Amino acid sequence: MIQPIDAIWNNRAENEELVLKPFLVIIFISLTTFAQSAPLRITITEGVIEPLPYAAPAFIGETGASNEVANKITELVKSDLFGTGLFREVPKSSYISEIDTFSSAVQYSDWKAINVQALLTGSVLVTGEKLSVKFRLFDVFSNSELGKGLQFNSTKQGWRRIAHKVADEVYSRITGEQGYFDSRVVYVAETGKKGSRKKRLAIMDFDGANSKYLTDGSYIVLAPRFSPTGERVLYTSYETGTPQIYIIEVATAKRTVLKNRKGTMSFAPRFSPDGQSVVYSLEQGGNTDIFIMNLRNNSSARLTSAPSIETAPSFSPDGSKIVFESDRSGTQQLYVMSSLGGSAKRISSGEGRYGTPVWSPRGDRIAFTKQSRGRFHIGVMRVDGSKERLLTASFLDEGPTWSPNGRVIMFTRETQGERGVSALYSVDVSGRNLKKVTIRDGGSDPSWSPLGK
Amino acid sequence: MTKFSLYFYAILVIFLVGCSQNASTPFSTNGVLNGSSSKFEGNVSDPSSIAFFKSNVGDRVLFPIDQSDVDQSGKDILLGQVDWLQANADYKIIIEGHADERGTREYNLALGARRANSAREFLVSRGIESSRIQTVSFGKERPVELCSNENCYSENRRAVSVVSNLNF
Amino acid sequence: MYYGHYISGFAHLGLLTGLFIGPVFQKDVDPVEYSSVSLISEQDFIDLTASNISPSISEEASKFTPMDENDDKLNFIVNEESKILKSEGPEVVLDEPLEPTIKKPEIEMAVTQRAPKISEKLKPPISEMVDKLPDIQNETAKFSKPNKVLTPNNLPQPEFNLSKALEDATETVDELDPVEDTIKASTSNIVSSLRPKSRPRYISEPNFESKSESKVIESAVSDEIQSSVPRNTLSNPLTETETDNLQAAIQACWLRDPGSLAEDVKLTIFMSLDRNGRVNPNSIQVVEISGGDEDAQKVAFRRAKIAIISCGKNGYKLPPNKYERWREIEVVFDPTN
Repeated sequence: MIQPIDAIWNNRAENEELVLKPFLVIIFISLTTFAQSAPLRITITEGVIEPLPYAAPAFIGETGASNEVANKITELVKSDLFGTGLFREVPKSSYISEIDTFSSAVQYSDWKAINVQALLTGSVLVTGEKLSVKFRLFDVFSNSELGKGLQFNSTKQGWRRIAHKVADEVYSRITGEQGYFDSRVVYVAETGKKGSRKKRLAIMDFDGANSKYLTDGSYIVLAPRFSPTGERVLYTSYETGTPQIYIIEVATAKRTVLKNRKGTMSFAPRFSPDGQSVVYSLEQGGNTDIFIMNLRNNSSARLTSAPSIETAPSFSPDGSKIVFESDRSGTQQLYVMSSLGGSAKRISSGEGRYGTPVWSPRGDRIAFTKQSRGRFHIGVMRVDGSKERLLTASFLDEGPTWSPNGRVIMFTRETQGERGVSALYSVDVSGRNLKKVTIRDGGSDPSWSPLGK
Repeated sequence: MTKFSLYFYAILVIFLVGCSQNASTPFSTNGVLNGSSSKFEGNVSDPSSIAFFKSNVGDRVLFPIDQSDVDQSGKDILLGQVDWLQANADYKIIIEGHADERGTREYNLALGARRANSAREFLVSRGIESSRIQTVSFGKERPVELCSNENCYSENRRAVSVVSNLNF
Repeated sequence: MYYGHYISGFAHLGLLTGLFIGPVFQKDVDPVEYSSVSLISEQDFIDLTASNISPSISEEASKFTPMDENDDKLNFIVNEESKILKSEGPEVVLDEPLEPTIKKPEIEMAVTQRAPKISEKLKPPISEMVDKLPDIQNETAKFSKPNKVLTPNNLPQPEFNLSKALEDATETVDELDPVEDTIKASTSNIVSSLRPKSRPRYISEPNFESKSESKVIESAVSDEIQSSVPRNTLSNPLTETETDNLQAAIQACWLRDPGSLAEDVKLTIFMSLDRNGRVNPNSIQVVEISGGDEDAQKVAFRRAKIAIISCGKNGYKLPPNKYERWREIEVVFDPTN
C-alpha cells in the first residue's frame, strides 16, 4: 500500500510503509537523472551536394630524375579524382603549410583552416626502369591518417596504372566504396561516313589513354563485352558474313568463333560471372531467343522460347538471374528470369520502350536504354523495376556499361543527320557529372573491365 | 553480236563475277552488299542480269516502323522476284534485313532478321526452294539514306534481295 | 550513460502500475471542507466553467499575467501538479503532460485556495530533502538553489487546461485535505524541484490547440526566466528559431553524395559543446546507426562528424543563458527520404 510521501516524511513514526520510502525516492532521483541526461535532439535531413575539398601537394621525387614522373603521377591522381565530380582540389596557392618531405608531420590545423578534409602526400623513386611510389592519406578533421600508407612498385611504363591505383585507394578510403580508375574499356572505334562506317574493336584505359585496335576493320564488329577477369572479350562479328560470336584474347588479339548452326545468327553475347558460360541471342527462321553455351564443352541450351524477340541478356553478379529485353508484350520491355531459364517477370513499367539492360556490379540496379516520345535516355532502376531514374536524354543514347564499382555508367551517344557521329560518354549513377570520353575516333558500344589486379 | 559471242561474253562475265567475289562466301563482311554484290551486274536490258533484277524487278521491300509483315506492295515486288528467280534457276538469293537508326543495336539486328525472314517466307510460299535463300540482318548498321527523319528512315526499313550465282 | 533512462523507465513503469493498482489501496479521504476564497470573480468563474476547453484559452492566459518566479500562483500550480502526480489518482499521466489531464482542475482549485500557505512551506522541505539524500544532492549539483527550481516553465500547460480544470474543480476538490495539503505541498516541493526538469522538453511540442498562445506564453515565460537567470536548470527550452538555426548551420556542412551507399545510412551523433558553442571533438560519438554496410556506415559517420565540426569551427550560435539545454546535443542525420 502506497502512501503519500509527505505522510512518510512528516510522520516518521509511521512505519507502515517505510520500506517504500526509498523506492519512491529512487523514482524521483531517477526522474531527475532522466531529465538531466536527456540531451537536446535535432534532426538533419538536408545537406549540400558538393565535392569534398582535398589537397594533394605534388608527390615528392626522391631523386632529381624522379621529379618528372612524380609530377605526372600527382596530376593523374588529381585528374582521376576530379573526373568523379566528388572531389575538389584546394589549390597550392591556398596552402598555409607545405609538405616538404614525405615523412614530415602534418600540421592539421593549417589544413583545417583552409577547409581541407583530406590530405594526400606521396613520394616517387625512379631507379632505371623501376618505379616505386609511396603515399599517405590524412583525415584532417580527425587529426589522423586515414588507412595505412602504401607503396606500389612497377616499371616506369606502368606509371599510369600506379597513379590510378593511388587514386583508387584515396577514393575508396574516403567514399567507402571501391574505386574504378585502374580499369580499361573495350569499345568499337568508328571512322568513315555514316552508312559505311569502318568499325574496329579497340581497348583503352578508362580515361582514354593507351588505346589500341584489336581488329582490322575489314568486317563489321559490334558490342564487345569483357570477361569477369578482363582478359577476354566477347563480341559480334561479320567476319564470316553473318553476325557470329567471337572471343578475343586482349593480350594477344587472338580470336575464336563460337560455333553455331549454319543459317543462324548469333549476337549480344555476355559472360556469366564465373566466366564459364556465355549467354547470347540466337536467331533462326526470323525468330530470336536467348541461349546459353558452356565454354568448356561447347554445349548449348535454350533459355527462352517465344515467337517474340528476346535479346540483350545480362547476368546478375551472383549468376542466379538474367535480365533481358523482349517485345512479347508488343513493345520492348525488360524481363528477369532465372539463369536456368523458365518464367520471366517483367520489371519495366513506364511509358516507352526499354532495352539493353545491364546488371550493376553491386547487384542492386539495372541500367537500360529507354525510348520515349522520340528521345533516348540512359536510365537505372532497382532490380524489381522500382525507382526508375533517367540519367540522360538526347537524340540517341544507348548501350550502358557499369564501372567496376557501380557508380558510373558509360554509354554511346550518337548525333543526328548525315554527319552524325557516335561518341562515348560517362555519367554518375545519380545523373550528375555527364561528360564525354576523349578518344581519337568515333566510338560506340563501350564495355568496362573489372578493376586491374 | 552473234549468239556465240553473247554466250561467250555471258560466260566470261559469270567467271569474272565469280572471281571478284570471295570464293568461300557470297556474303559481304562489310555490309556493302546492298544489292551491289559485284561490279559485273550485267546490262540492265538483259532480263537475266542482276542489273535488270534490281531496276526492273525491284530488289527491296519496305516496312513501317517496328513492322516486319510484308504489305501488298511488298508482295507485288516479291512476286516479281519469284518470277525472276524461277527464270534464272542458277541464281541464289540473300535477303538482307535492315532497320532504321531509331532503336537499340541488338533489337534492330533482330528486327532486321525478322524482316528478311518475312520476305524469305513469302518467296518460299510461292515456290522458291528454301535452299536457294539465305538471310542476314544488318540491323541499323547500313542505312541507305543518312538523314535523321522519316523520309530517310522509311527507306532504311527494308529487306533487300541480293541475287548471286555463287554457291553457298 | 543511460542508467538514468533505465531507472526512470523502471520508475515510470512502477508509477504507472501504482496508477492502476493504487486506487485499490487508497485510503478513504474525508471530504474536504473549504471556504470559498477565490482569486477570480464569481462571474469569471462562471464564464470559465461555462465555456469549452479550447476557445477560452486566450482569455485565460490573460488572466494569468506573465510570471516571475515569486508568483505564488505559479509556484502553487507547479506544486499542485506534482502533488497530483504522486497521488496515484487515475488522472496522473507522467508521460503526457501536454494532454488536458484531469489533474489540472486540482491545480486550479489549489491555486484559488491554497496559494499563500503552500508557498511558505516551499523551502524547508527541499533543503531537508537535499540533506537527507546526498545522492540527490550530487544529482542536483546543477541545481544550486532548489527554490529557484520552481520556475513557471511548465505553466503554459496548466493554464491552457484552465477551463477544463475549473470544470472539474468541484469533483476533485475533495482530494485536497487542507491539513494534508500543506504537508503534501511541502513535500511535493521536492517533487516539483526534481520532476519538472523533464517537462520543458515537452513544452516545445505543439500540442496546444492554439499554438500562438503557447508561443506567447512560452516567450513570456522564457523572458521571465531569462531575467531571473537560473542557469542551473534545464528549464529554458530552445525556441524553434534557435533549433532551426542550429539545424541550418549543420546542414550547410553536411556533404551529400546521391550515388553513394552512405546515403542509405541513418545515424545519430552525440556531441557536447562548451559555452561558446564549440563542439568538443572528443565527445563526438555514435548513438545509433542503421542501414548500409560497414564501409558505408564509416563514411556516413565521417561525413556527419565533419559536418558538425566544420560548421561549428567558430562555435554555433546558441543562447548562452540556455547553455544547460544545449550543452549536450544529439544530432540525427537522416538522408533516407
